[in-house]
Amino acid sequence: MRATLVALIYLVLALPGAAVDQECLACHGQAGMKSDAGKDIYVDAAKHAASAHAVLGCKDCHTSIKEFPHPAKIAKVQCATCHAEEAKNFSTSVHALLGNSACASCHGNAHDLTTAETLAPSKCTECHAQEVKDLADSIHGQAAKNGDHDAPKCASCHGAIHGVKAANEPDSTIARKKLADTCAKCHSDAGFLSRHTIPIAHPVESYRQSVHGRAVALGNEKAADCSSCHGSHNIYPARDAHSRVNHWKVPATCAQCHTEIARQFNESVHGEAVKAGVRDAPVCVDCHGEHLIMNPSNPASPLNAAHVSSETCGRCHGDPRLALRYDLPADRLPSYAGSYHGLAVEGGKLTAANCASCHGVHDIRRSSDPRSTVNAANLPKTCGQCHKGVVEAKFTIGPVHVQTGVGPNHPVVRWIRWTYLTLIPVTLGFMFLHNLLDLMSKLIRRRPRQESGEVALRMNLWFRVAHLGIMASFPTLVVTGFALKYPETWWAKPLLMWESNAGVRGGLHRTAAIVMLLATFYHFVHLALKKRDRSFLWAMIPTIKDATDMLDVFRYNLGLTKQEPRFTKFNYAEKMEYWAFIWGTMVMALSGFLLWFNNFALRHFPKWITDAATAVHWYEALLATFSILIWHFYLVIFDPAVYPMDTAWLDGKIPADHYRHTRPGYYCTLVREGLVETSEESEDSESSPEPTRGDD
Amino acid sequence: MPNGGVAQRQFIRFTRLQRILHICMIVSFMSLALTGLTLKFSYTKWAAVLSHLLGGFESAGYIHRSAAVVMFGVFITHLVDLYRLKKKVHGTWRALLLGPSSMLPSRRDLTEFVGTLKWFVGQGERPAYGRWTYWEKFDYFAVFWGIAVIGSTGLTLWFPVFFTRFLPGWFLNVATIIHSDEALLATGFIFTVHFFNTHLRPEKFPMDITVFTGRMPLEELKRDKPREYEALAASGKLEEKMEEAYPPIVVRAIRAFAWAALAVGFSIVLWIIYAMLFAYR
Repeated sequence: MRATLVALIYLVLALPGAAVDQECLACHGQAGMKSDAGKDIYVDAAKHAASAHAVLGCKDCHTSIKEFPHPAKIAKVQCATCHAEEAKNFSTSVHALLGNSACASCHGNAHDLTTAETLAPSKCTECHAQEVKDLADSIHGQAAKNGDHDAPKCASCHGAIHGVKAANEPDSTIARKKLADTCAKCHSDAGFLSRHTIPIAHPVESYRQSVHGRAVALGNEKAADCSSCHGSHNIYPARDAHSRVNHWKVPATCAQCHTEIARQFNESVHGEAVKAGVRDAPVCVDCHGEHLIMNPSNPASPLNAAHVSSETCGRCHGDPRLALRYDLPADRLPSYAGSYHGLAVEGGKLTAANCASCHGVHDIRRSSDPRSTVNAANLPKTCGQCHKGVVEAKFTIGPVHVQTGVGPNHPVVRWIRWTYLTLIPVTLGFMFLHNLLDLMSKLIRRRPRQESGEVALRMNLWFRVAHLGIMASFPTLVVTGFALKYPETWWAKPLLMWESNAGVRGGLHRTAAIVMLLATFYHFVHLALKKRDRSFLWAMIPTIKDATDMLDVFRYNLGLTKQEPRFTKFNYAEKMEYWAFIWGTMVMALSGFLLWFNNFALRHFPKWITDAATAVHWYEALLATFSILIWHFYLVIFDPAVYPMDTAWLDGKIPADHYRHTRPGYYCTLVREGLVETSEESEDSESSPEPTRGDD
Repeated sequence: MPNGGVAQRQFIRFTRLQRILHICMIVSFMSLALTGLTLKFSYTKWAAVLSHLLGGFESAGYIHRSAAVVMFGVFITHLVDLYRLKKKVHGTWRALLLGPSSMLPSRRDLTEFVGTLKWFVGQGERPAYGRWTYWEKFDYFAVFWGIAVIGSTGLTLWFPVFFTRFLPGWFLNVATIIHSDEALLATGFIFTVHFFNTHLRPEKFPMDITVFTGRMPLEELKRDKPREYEALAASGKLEEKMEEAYPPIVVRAIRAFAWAALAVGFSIVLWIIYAMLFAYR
């Protein structure tokens, strides 16, 4: 710009100089004129007139010449006299190594100077032949050829040509730390990206947040910049087979730095599939991402333990389309997700196993391969990473991806499943119908409650303490247990909040289990110590009469008989509940301990024992929870005889009228033992001032 | 009925129209809740089965809108009835709204509420409630609120083209959320709190059919609404408000209907609990 201005001024001032030039040309216009030193000092007037310097007269540059003839030795003309700006940066540029005649190396002889516009890239070719050729073939070069105004020229990336720096200079526009900025000039521009249908969102910004971008920003001289993966002059779109980021070239491109990992990958089941041309087989970027590659320890990384299984492996191994095409087992993901490992990870416990914990990372091999971490011979070592002790022991492994519902289960697990799937609906259905019938029959008869005010002591303090222990621990077990099974639900979230740091949910579950076992144990110690209360056990023994009682109740409730059944101390419903509780506690404790001390279990028993324990613990929990809701809550809450609640668990007392009527023998015993009081004595324990229950 | 079937004179609490309106409301509310929830919880297996039984989501929609029309009808009829009541019985709005049988909350309700809380924890006697207890008033105005909020948003969703002529488009998205969640609140409220008050309260368990027969035994009036009873007894007007009880066959039919409604309501509650616990999105 400044040179043009100077030239214009000269144009005005120097027109009279044309006559002087004719004097110079008298000698210098003769072709082949040489100086004393043999240097060619011929000036082709025609070429000069056509050059960028046409407006300049001889003396405009050769200012030292004052007279004719001029001295033999004249001062050398300095380009910098006029082109001060270009010259200023030029001394620090990489092209300064061209020395004194640097200007002429590109622009040619000053007398027939070529304009800057026509120089690049043909002139660059003289030295940078390969780069210029690469650029011409590249997507950038092709774009330029097609007249795309966005297409970069040399200077677009390298900066103003007179100040161009070598890539290893820190302030070069293509230095490692600066390259992303340079590419960002176009590739961060939303308009540019949309004009050229480049759908990758925020490539440069993503790169800056990636491990590569951060390492470069911190000054790592080896970390990847844009050109490390995309190339520099030879950049092609990924769809082009020449591209270094083309799907099939990705492993080789990453291998430039990650040599050992690439070697492992190439030998893996995925690498072999890639070599075989399987388009669906993953290359590096399919798992790691492209521009936004993050350290797997970063929670946002798709490879983070929290979601590597579901988001990364699961993307293909949970895809029914791929399962069909490649005959992959379709149950791998759901069976993992339903296992303790999957549920615990989902709940936030990241130390539990994910896919990579067992299958490896880059060196994943099929299980039939003896080098595979999941080959039968290597399983003790693989499982032993977490389950200490299984390495040495005779570790009997069974099918790993066990889905309780389907898949290759041990016959015992299948048998357990079918037993429970029959038992649960039958039991719960029986309970529901039995209680519904009882409720309806009691409501239809609508016998007004007798209110003599007599109360009897049914649960002494020993029993109430045991009941309180169960009452505190059972719901805790239910909630903490179901929270493992349903980690995604809103009510499980607060319980699972600390899961990544401490197993609060599991801790609570096991604490409650101990409380429940202690309460049960305490109950039996109590019965052993107190002779008087030991009769409780005898009274609980099921007899033939219980079976007939139940039938009688059905008949009575159905209106088939007018004879109301009479019971002893405990009726069949209470006996069923008591023994079901004892049985359930034993089953839950046994299966629960096998799961709690799973290392022990895996060391000493075949794996199907653990699978069976898992299935039993789940189904028995379902059965127990719903039994309490349907059976126990009817007995103590919804039964019209006790509604709104049998408060014996609080003060041990029950209204005696009900018992006098339905359990006359037991009532007599209570009276004999002095356990029946009249209401005057117990008035303070009566909290409800309601005299009668409304029967409309 | 303590004296076993012999027709006995009972206190009239609800008029025939009020009883009919309540039955219409039960039918329309249950239909609205069932058809609406199949859409709200369409991702549960239950919803699919239920909507299949109802003839698919399309026909569930027709049932929903028909029931809504019934509900609006109930509401408008009640307002008209109130106007008639004002003209015939009370004379002025003031008398209707501020009299002893007004549904409007009063200072007394607050003291009764506090008294009830004290009674809950065993501090003091149960308050002597009047014709309408504070929770009955709350139930009553909850319906006004529900009709206004759910009804208005429902109409915008029914006639989106008409309403977006003068409302911004985003209002439909907001209306969807309001309609759905307010309806869940209403359903949850009716089938738990209202059901508790009329079915699970120890003195009502398992069912209070006053709203269907319109009659309540005098004993119950003395026990549940002592203040109203005292006032009527003192003014000597009690006898005017007594009528013969319905014969047992009618009561049995009413009970059958009430039990069916109760069963549907509790099933819906179980369904909501299941959906909220294990499938909520």
